[in-house]
Amino acid sequence: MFGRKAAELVREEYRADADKINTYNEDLVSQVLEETREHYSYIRNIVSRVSEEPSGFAGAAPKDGAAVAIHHESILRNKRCLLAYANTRAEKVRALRWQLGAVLPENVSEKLSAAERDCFKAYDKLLGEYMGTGPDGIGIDLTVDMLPPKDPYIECQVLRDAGAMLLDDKVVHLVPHTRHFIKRAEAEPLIAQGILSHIES
Amino acid sequence: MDDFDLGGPSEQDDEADVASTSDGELLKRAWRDEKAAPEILPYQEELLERVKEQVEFQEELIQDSQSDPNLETIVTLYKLDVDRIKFLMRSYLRTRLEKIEKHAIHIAGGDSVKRLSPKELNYLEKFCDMLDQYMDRAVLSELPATYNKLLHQYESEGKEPDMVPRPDLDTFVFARAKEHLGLIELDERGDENPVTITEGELFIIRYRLIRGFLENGQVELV
Repeated sequence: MFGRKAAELVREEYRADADKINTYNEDLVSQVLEETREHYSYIRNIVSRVSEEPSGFAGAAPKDGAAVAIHHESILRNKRCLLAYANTRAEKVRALRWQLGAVLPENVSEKLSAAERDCFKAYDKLLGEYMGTGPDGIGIDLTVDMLPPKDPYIECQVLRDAGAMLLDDKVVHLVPHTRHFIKRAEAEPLIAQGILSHIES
Repeated sequence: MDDFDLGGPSEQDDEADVASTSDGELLKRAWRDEKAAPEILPYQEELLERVKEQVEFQEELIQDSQSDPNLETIVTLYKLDVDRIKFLMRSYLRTRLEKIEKHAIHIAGGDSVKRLSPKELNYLEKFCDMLDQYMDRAVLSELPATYNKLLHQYESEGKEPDMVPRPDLDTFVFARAKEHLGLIELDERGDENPVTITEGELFIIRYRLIRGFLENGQVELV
């Protein structure tokens, strides 16, 4: 069935949770690409056969025209599906930069294709430049402060030991299971990394 | 705390309604409009520069008074306010980046490109390059030559791009009229009766219809 595999590809990504990324389905992508190339070779075969006939394109049989049209539309459809798949994945890859920071954990990184991993790196560099203090940067870190502040400090519980760190210009050691009031902007990256959990009052 | 002045020089503007509003309030409005509008809006360069300066000034002030125990409560309140302003600033810039990424090709190829700050423009250009490269590698380079363009479904010679994601200008938005808008035609075909919108009225409407009013500052999005 024409276009079935491509639709499956799109459906797979569409059904996945918006904040979760599936393993890149390299197998299915290459099958769709293979199918697309087959459609193309059908078109070329028909076109070259018709052009060699004495009556030329003007006298081509309707069935040849219909076949070319269907193969052509199938290629367009596959192309759209492939691009939609790649684009949705790229959006999720960029979202990972905001959620997890500049370095991807192994268990996430292995779900991405090589092109996606490079895309992540390039995006990280671009975003870093924009938020940085260089000539192209605005000098503001946009990845903190994701929620409107209610209080400058939030209460957090330490989930795991992460060694000594600099908080509020003081070196502190966060002991697991203790609770602290920490500056929101400093706590947010730690919450994202799973070191702290925010205790809602 | 709403009309708390950030401590910067008060703005002397000709228009009375601007002079009576603090930069914090203006930023909140710009942020709300940007959040609600489907397309990117003009960058509020002067406002952002002023707010940035004021935040820096305020942070210095906080730093200087932090050691004084008598000022503790006041310092906490100041901090809270600076945090709020910083959140608005970050969220405003973040929202713009989201739109730039989502509609990169559309913005780069149209009039909206004039609405970006120079740094956003630089970001957009590099982002488009990145997207091009990625799409090429992930999909397009594997397709037959006549089908391998990102912006065209099939062949590109002398044709308008037909594969560009664009913002949906027909999406519905909540808006409030800041002044009397008069009679508004609700659709192009004339099937619906036009409505009169008066000052202060809150309504839900297709974005396209109030786009011009938003640009002139006659409505605000909520």
